[in-house]
Amino acid sequence: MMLMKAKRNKLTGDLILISALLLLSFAIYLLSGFFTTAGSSVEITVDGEFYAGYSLNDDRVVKIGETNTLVIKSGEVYMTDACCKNQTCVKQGKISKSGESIVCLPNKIIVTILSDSDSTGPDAVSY
Amino acid sequence: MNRFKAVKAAIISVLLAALLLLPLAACAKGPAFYRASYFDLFDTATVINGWASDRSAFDDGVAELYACLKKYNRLFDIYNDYDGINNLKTVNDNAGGSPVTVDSEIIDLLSFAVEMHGLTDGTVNVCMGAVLSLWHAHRTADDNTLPGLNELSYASGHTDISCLEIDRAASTVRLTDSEASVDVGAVAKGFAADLALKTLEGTEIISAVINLGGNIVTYGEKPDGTPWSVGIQSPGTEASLPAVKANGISVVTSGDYQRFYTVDGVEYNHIIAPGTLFPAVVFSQVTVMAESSALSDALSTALFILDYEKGAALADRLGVAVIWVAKDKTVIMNDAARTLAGE
Repeated sequence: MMLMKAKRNKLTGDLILISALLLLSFAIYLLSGFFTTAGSSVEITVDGEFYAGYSLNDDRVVKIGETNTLVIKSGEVYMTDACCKNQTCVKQGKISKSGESIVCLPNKIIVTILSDSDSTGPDAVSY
Repeated sequence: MNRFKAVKAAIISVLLAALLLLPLAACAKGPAFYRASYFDLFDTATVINGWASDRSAFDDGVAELYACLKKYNRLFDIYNDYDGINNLKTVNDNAGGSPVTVDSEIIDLLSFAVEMHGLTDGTVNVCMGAVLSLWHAHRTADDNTLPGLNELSYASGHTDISCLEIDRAASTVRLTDSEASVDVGAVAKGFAADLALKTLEGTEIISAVINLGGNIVTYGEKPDGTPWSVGIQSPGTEASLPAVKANGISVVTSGDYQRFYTVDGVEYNHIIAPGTLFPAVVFSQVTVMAESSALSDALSTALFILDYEKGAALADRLGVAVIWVAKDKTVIMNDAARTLAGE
């Protein structure tokens, strides 16, 4: 009788352990999914190399080296300053949608809005 | 009881192993994704996203692609001289003089441009150099002024396509009018993109999408089997423009938000209508999708200039997909574009 009870307790313990592990892994899966799809991000590359990345939802002013100033505000991204004469990137105005980009040719800067999940963003954007 | 325990242990082991292996499944060995970008081609940024077995295979392939684009950038350049090559600047410098011997790619490009002149009723005119150079000079000057009507009118007297003599057999080009010049801005990038795609065939790059300053071409198929998806930068529309399925399709956009300048509060874009000699004013943006990037490029310029009725008729005749965005941001798509957008 005692033996049976011990066995059952053991079985219950195992079941709890297995359930806990399954729940934990599911939670990790959900959380990792949550963190990667938390919102669009802004990626800055300089001469093809990753320079910085920010959430599109967090307002901020970004100094890109000595040459450019980028603003992320209310889900929109725009260049406010560039040291070059043509000011193409400043004149381009605001971008806000996944895949859109601002290019500063003289300073080799590309600012791109990356989609909140890989499956929904385009592979390239025509402009 | 031992047997029962053993079974339990086995079940737990398998479950734990499965949990551990779950994330690893995502890292299965396959082609990897790489990116490269260049800033010294066609006065624009070039971004190549693609898949290859490893980094060096991708880099080697991209190096060939870059060499190819670099070559065409020099050949089609109207502003700079390069040692040892006759490019379009050489052709312009010798306007009114003797024929200039050029590479076959220049012959092909100019022949294509002449063909486009015919197809678009002169809307795409590669001999508009005299007029375009005036606008270019004023757009890039510091004082923000417009070209004078007299000088524009005078220059337009030197834009007749018939002054361009192409001798394929002799591989020479000649401008018979000493004040005429060629400007291939409406066709060069697309034409080069088509040629660049062909170079990829000899490389180990499995699939790629090339963004040549907004001109998009795709190569091969994505490893996951989904179609290439190409978006279009919004010219200020409320909603995103649709992304299109672009396997074997080149997407090229002309917009008033690129390369414009402002005089007395009015924005002047860089696409000059031959009829008015002033920037086209009908649309904010026109996107053309066709198999050939050269055709997409030329037509995006033509349809940016032509009014909707004429443009739509031309697009239907040539079977290309078009998305127009009017100045008031109204979006118009033809049937072919709706199909590519999956609507």
